[in-house]
Amino acid sequence: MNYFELIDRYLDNSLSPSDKMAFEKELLTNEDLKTDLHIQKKMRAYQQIESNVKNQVQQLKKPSKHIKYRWLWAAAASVLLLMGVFILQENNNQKNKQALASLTTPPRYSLDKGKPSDNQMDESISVLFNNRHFAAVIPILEQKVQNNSKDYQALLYLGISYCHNNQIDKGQTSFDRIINGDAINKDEAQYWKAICLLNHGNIPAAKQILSDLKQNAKGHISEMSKKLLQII
Amino acid sequence: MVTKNRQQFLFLSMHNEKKIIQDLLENKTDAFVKVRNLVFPSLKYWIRKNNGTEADAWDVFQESLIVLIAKAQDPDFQLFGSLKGFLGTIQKRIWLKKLEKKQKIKVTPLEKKELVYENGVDAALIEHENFLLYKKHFNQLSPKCRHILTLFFQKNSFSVIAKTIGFANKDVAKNEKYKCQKKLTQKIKQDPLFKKNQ
Repeated sequence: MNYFELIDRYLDNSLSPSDKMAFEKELLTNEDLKTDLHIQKKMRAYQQIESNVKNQVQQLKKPSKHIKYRWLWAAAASVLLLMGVFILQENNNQKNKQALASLTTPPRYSLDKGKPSDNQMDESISVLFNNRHFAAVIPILEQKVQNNSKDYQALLYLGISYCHNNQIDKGQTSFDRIINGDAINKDEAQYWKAICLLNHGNIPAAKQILSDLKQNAKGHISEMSKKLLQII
Repeated sequence: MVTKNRQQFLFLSMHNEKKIIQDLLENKTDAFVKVRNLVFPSLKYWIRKNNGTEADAWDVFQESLIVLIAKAQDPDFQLFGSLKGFLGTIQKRIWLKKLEKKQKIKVTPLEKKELVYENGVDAALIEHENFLLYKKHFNQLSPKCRHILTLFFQKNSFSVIAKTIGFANKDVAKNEKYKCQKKLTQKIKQDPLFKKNQ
């Protein structure tokens, strides 16, 4: 068993009682071991806490609808009159919610069967990205872009992953690299840049980009921008 | 009578805040919502008044919670003042530090002094420095090392790590993980801030 395996097993509480006792005896006199154990313990804790907090905060950022109870009496008085309108609006809201979800859900990462060289890497990206493990997929996408700086498709998915992982600046930089480069997916990058801004509360900037795309983009991106502008 | 009621109120709020911290440690969503409602509106207002945006306020809120939870894992942790006061002070110090870094604004000693009014805040700020230190060195590792360690910290087995990254078998994954772990540990130990905070 090597040095770090011993520390890991101690932290996992999977050492035998005699090994555990020997480890704890060593800890009393070995300052290096004490420091290394402390670092591993902290590293694990920070990773776990950061991941939990990030996920929770991501949920908290989503706007929630608060019922204003003090207005309930007024609503009750006119409830019959408004019933018909309400049903129509709810129906509309529901449709809007569904439309918003479909317009802002990241595209699936599909494997390009024609490129055997990156198969292993692409499979990892596909599994992690499509299951929304954005923190885990970022290093692989970074590696892919590092291998080929003109892999604009990977750069697009990297931008989307950064944004979902709260690394907004890096996300914007990735999209800008596509927009300012010689890529064919510039409109797509603009669109996901707008979604990133939208998800992080910068609605005016998102609207500006979407309006430009509605006017100037070709095909489905123009159509999607138009639909999104009608909802937000 | 007023004093008794006040004492009862303080006892109840201390009890509630202990419960909130316990729930945060257990990653319960309700507790996060309660803390958001307790501190976020004033934090957002304060950060906007101090050259920041709502997105900055969320970042600071997130970092302060990481610090609080990391500190609360310590069995000796005790919250002496109110949770709102404790988090508020940490959040302001985090933001002033970020401002100092970003815009090279010098925060006057008076501003800093005004914020230190609760026990345990300084220890929490050291925890924050340590968190940023670990994060900095983790982010400086190669993408492959970060990927391996992330999968390991997510409690994936070495067989799964080998399969995900494309190593021949779990022994190779194990070996690669130890190399990355060693590199990271060395980098952290060599950092002067780590030595200072020890």
